Amino acid sequence: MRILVVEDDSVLADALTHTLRGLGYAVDCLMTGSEADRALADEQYDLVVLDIELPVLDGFEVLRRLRRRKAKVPVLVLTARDSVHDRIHGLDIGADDYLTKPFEMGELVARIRALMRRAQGVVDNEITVGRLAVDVKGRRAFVDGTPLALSARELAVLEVLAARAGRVVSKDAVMRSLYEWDEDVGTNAIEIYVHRIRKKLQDSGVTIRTIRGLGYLMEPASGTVDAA
Amino acid sequence: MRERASQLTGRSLRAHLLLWLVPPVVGVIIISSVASYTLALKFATAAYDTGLFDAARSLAQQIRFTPSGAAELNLPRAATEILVSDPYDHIYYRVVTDGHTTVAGRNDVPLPLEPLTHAEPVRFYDAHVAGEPVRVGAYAVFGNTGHAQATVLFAETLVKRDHLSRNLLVTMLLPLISLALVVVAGVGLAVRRALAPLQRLANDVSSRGWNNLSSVGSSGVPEEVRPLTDAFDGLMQRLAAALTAQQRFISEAAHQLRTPMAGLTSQTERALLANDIETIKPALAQLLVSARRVTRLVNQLLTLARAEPGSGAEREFVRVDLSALVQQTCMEWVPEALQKGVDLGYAGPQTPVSIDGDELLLAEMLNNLLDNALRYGANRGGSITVRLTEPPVELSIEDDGPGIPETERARVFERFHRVPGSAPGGCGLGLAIVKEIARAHHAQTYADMPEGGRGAAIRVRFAQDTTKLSRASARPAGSPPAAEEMSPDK
Repeated sequence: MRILVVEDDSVLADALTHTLRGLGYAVDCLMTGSEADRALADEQYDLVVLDIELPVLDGFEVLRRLRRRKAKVPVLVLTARDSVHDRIHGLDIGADDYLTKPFEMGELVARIRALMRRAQGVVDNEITVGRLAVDVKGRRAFVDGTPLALSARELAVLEVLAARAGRVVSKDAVMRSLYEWDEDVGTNAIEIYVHRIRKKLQDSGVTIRTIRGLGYLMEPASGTVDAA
Repeated sequence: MRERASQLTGRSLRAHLLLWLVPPVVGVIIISSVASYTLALKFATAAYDTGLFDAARSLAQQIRFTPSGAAELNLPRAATEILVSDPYDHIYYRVVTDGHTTVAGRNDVPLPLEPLTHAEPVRFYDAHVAGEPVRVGAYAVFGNTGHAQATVLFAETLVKRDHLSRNLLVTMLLPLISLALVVVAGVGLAVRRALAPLQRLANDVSSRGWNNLSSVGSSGVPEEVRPLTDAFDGLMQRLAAALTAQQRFISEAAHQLRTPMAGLTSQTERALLANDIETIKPALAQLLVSARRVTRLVNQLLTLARAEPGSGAEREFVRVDLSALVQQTCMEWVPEALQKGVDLGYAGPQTPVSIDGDELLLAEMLNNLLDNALRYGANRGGSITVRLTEPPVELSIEDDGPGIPETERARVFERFHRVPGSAPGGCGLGLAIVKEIARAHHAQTYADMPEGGRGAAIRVRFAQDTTKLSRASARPAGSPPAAEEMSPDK
């Protein structure tokens, strides 16, 4: 995996380069827009981290030229300007994601991973939350490899909660996951399904919290969820 | 039409005054000239006519009637000469008897159209002799029979009369025209004199530095312009106040940045001095804390700048579903709340609650409210409830923490104000941002406590009219408006 980092602030460029190399990526780092433009024309990269405020040729222009060459490489734009106008402009001319300085390195890494996954068209067929694993394709769920006995509707609810583990899933979203059965599912029915799933997950360490007025949140026992 | 009106108002004062003054003055001059000229001419004509009559009568006295009734004029040639001699005009006479027989003089002097009678023995009229315009005086001499036995016509050309009328005209017009000229010149001068202080004022203002916001003063300025200078002074005062506030804000912000920057510097130095990784790590951890603090402060300052009116970041307000926005934002904060062991929940309608607003700013407001509640409100094991009620649309963030002392409630929204004894790490901008964004949405902010009487509540109440608008459009089709107004506690 080869990443091009274009950043003119040497301190930030240094931090980016070292962090990404530490994660096993091959990283090239350039300081100016014109250098970046040339490198992008000649070389193949899997991802570009592009600063907007660059000397000589600004990031927007580099991006515009890149997209004019029909290059599909994902671009993550970095900028200190976070007005909506700038953001829309960046996305309009072909940025895939947008991060405002200063940012947390963890967030940058998570977004780079997400962009690469999207670029490769990889869709995980298995969702894991702690010791719980949901096989989306095979429509089954396991705790420590042991299959759980779930009805199709329970599995659908479990799936939507697991897919967004660590985040709140609104009751609406849960209801929508059951639409494929063409049933008028009431809020009470959802509560019943969640109640049943909770029972079956009792020993898995995975809990489903009810968030007042908002929905449900699934989390592994430790309370922390892997960002990826 | 509007364009013409604006052209008029944009014209110079002088042009304006002249436009309003000159046509009436000229009108009055024309009317009065015509009137006096007509009158003067009438008197002059009457005077000359009397001369004609005298001449006609003296001629008539020389008429003798024959016993048969015919008239004869026995006038020596010399006398006739005297009668018709005049330095300017040609004078003609004619004596007619029996209505048409010319006894003496030129026979082409026209007779009056109607014969003269006893009742009207004298008449004057205009006519032509030998192609020249003349004034004719006709005088009838009656015999015993009662019929006019002879008519004396005396005619003179109009040289004298024309001369007189020209003189009259000039004598009357000259002063009137001078009057008009005096008016025009006077207006010009008066306007220039009156506006001279304005020019001085303009020079004074344009030569000022950007920071000289003192009063422009109104001495020597015409009374009519006083409202303008007063308004200008008012603006200056407001600008000065705003400028002072801005300067205070900038210096306060810079001071606030100094503390975490000092932390950054000292921890970096500490890390650089250390030899082993175990000493470096805690220093770096502290460094990160300081850096995050700087980041947060800078972000808050930027948000505040954006929320302020005139920041240039204003966008058109659109219909925003506050209920959906609140739920969405709360969902995003739930993981952090759980990490802090705080139970974050939403209490409010699941159906749309629409207001006019800027969605990004409103989300920023909610973020600051929730951040504030999580930092200073709820303790571990406590809870935060985001409440949305209507009408009027009111958003409340309630916690069960230590609460805000009554004396502090008004001040928590002030910039850089921190409630004494509150958790460290903040800089007192969160609620100032909330207030600024609320103000941009014509909403009021206040702090009190939840109904249970424990903890703190920060409330944002949106203006009534926004609510009404939103209710009208948010109402499901077919439901009567009256029914909704009957149930305010829905």
